[in-house]
Amino acid sequence: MTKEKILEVRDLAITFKTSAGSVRAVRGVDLDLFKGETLAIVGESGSGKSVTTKAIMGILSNNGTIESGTILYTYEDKSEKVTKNLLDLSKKQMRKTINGKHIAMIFQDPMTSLDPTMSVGNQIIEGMRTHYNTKKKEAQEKAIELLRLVGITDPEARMKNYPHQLSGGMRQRIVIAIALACDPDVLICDEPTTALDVTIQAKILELIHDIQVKTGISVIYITHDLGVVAKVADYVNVMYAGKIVEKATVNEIFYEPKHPYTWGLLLAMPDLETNPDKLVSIPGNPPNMAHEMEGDPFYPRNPYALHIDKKKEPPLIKVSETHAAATWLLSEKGPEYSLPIELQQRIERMREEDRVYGTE
Amino acid sequence: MEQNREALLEVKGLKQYFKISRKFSVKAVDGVSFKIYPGETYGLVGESGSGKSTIGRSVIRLHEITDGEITFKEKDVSGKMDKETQKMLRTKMQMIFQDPMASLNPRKNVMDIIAQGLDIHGEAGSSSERSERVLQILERVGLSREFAGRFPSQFSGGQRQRIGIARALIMNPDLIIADEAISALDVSIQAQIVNLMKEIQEETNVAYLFIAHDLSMVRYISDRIGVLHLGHMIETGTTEEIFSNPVHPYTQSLLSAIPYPNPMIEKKRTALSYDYATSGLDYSEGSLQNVGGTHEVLGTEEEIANWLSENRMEDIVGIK
Amino acid sequence: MDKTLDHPINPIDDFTFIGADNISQIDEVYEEDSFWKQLVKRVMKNKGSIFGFISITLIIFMALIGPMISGYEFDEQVAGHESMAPRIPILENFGIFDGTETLKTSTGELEVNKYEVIEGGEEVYHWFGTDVLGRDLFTRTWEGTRISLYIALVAVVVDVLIGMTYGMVSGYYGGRIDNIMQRSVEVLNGIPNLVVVTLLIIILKPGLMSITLAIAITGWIGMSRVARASMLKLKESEYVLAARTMGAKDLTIMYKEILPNIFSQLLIMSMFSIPNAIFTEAFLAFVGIGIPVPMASLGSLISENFKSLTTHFYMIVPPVVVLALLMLSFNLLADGLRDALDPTMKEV
Repeated sequence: MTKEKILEVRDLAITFKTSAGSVRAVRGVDLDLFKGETLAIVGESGSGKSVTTKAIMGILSNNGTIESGTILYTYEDKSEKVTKNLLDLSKKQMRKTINGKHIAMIFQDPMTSLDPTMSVGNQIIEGMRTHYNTKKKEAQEKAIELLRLVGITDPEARMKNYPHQLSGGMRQRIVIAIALACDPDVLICDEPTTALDVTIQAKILELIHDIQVKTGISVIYITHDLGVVAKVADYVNVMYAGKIVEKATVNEIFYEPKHPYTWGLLLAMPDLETNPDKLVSIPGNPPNMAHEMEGDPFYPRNPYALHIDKKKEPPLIKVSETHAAATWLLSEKGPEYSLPIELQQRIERMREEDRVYGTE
Repeated sequence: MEQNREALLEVKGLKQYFKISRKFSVKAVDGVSFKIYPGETYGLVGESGSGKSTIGRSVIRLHEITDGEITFKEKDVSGKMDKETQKMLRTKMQMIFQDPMASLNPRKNVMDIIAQGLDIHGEAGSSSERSERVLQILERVGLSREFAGRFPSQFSGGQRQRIGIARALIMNPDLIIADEAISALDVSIQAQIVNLMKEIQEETNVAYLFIAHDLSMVRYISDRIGVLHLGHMIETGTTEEIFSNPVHPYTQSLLSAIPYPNPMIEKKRTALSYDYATSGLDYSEGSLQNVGGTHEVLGTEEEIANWLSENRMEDIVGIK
Repeated sequence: MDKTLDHPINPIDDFTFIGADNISQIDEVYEEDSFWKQLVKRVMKNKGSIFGFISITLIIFMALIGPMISGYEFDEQVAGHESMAPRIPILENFGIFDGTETLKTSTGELEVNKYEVIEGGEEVYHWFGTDVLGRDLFTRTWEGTRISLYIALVAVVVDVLIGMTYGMVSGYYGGRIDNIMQRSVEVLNGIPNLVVVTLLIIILKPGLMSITLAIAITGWIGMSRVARASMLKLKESEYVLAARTMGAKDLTIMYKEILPNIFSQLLIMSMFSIPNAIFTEAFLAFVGIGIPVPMASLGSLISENFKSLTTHFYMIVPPVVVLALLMLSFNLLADGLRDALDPTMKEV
């Protein structure tokens, strides 16, 4: 089964003009999204993960400029396969042809994503009427179907509700329904469950998975929670300081991580057997993107830093067909090294668990 | 756990009702009791609407309490307090807040922020003494002395949270209430702050009331845990007891909902469902019953017998 | 023997671990300008506010030194110098401001230059001309500006002090206290400002103090609203809660924690109130209950010289221009300040 690539980002670089100076938020990012796949982008503050997806949607704030790069999106336009560079389209063209219709986005806070003055039903219908000129009756029926799809009970009654009458979990479901209203091919989720309770988060993640199975849409998931990544992702990109530092399938990231930052993220989550005296943590703080740095931006926090990290930023070095990491440790001239003991033990435990539970 | 130690903090039957209109009150906390012993970490877990933050703020008397008793260091702090008790409460019990951006006054410099407690209670001494105390605490929380003259906006989230900890720590408290103190931080920084808190506990024997919704962190840092739902304490016990044998169906659903960082397993798992409205339970009917050791569960005898006989462990991964 | 290189390149070394030295606890702190410096920078980006700022500065400067450099007193009525057109030294050589004016008489237009008529007229210069009583308009205009500015500034300062305190107390305590305080204010506010001011002046008799007082009395309500709104917003901030958990008293919290954070809002509000105050004073003068003669304010100048609008219109121009410029400049500056302080401007 050949995988069909629908989104290809190459060499994306974005700079913002702020009162603190020029901020190079994204410094050369390559991404690939295949049909029916879930891509997870993992990163912390200053990694550039949100900015990257905003660039794909064409909703960068006004003080941002795209310094370089292409975003090639392949879709069906009147039964014909078309590939366009989204960066060539103006904001207006994006809104007319791509946003909502082909690529939809959902954000972190469900309360501010919904218009407080419009009923929920009208918000779902709005997109359909705008993009496809659907007749009102037809759109309403479709909206009720969508509400059912996202697991809302008594959908006919809910259509007339206003956002403030619903709970956080329900609101996020409505947001998802609105995003799906125009049958997009790609759904971008920017930390959609960070603000929700963990029980509701579990339900929303399952929901998105179900929808994916049913409709075959591709999903880009932005998160900082590796547990969520484990649940939803097929492929993972780890970002740090505006660049991708490791890209791999989800199993490779958890069982064979290659970049010291990824190791740090994995260890920052406490585990049953974690040493109760001290959690292995990445020292220091996320980088200040307003300052230009020479070499690898991660080196001040990296216990595995090499001297060359101070001078030259490592490129993405290939580990396998699907796996690459930007660390000099992987180069041929790199020294001998081994993963932190805690991480080795954890990976052992994971393999053990998989043997015991995974075969059910 | 020896129960014959004197409790540092004892909360009995705490009720916190907020009046919305003449007929309707929100029962944020509806009869919660627990104890915290010196030098231990008590984790208070719950989701939104559980009342956990309200409990934290009621204990430190940011609110007037509707009903119940709170005893701190053997003094009653639930009602009107005399000057001495009030001073003791305000110095020996401190709080760290959730939002590192909002918990520091943007127009005050670090030195003044940290010395606030000293200034209010007149314990600052001379200007150089005050300075020295602040600088020492600053180093203790892992920040450089030079930062004393800077303003909060110049620091990152993790650094600001350290300043908040320094502000609480300089008063030499016996109990620190951490109200979602790490929830707003990046994952890698959370680990740093948790380590710092543990170090401080080891050095000063301070107790923590750790209020959070992130169960993995709570499990890591707490000695004992209380699970809250809709204003009631539905299960409590040592960390081990709760995580290895959750009895109440809500606790079970909560634990099963934690995404487990092992993709091969996590992808095959579905979380357990629990809906109070349809569960047939009434929290106000039950009482806390002991099910072994210090493990207590809220329910009627019948309900608890039922739960103990079921075993849904396979759905809750990661339990030995 | 090996050749010695100037820069021994040892690639193997580069690929060794930096080791424990790397993780020094260097906690970086972002360099940042102070709050005021940042504010100034942002305001300066707005061309309107730069214009406003510069003209205000110039006007204040002239108000201070103007009356001193003209060589006349503001109430000096020089006999024989009545209604003289403006005459400015160097510019007169270019044919403008040379003391001539065109009078419309029943027999047609007539060019007249009074400076040629009076004795010693060659040496006499009135840069803005004179009014019907022979008083130098340049001196009077700047003297008037002084008084207008003085009244406006004092009134606004009093407003800030009263309004700020009232609003903060009302907002901080909330509940019944807030209710009572706000309802009282609403009643007061219901009475039209100009009516209150006019009545006050009539009772207290026009004078510098009474006019300042009258303007202050009506202006503080707006200030208290701003203070109260900001207080309500900040009251539940976590740093205020932190202060309360430390046992800080209410007054300490209001003045030490919250006030520094609402100060900028108050500053903007006062910038907007100043033109209001200047205008109210001008209005009072225009209707005849302003500054008593012989003192001058911009309003009274406009009022007295209004009568000569059709005959010697140059008399009314300077005070009008200065008044308009002042009001415009304060508005522009306040606009710029407000935009600079706007927290909703997202930068990334």
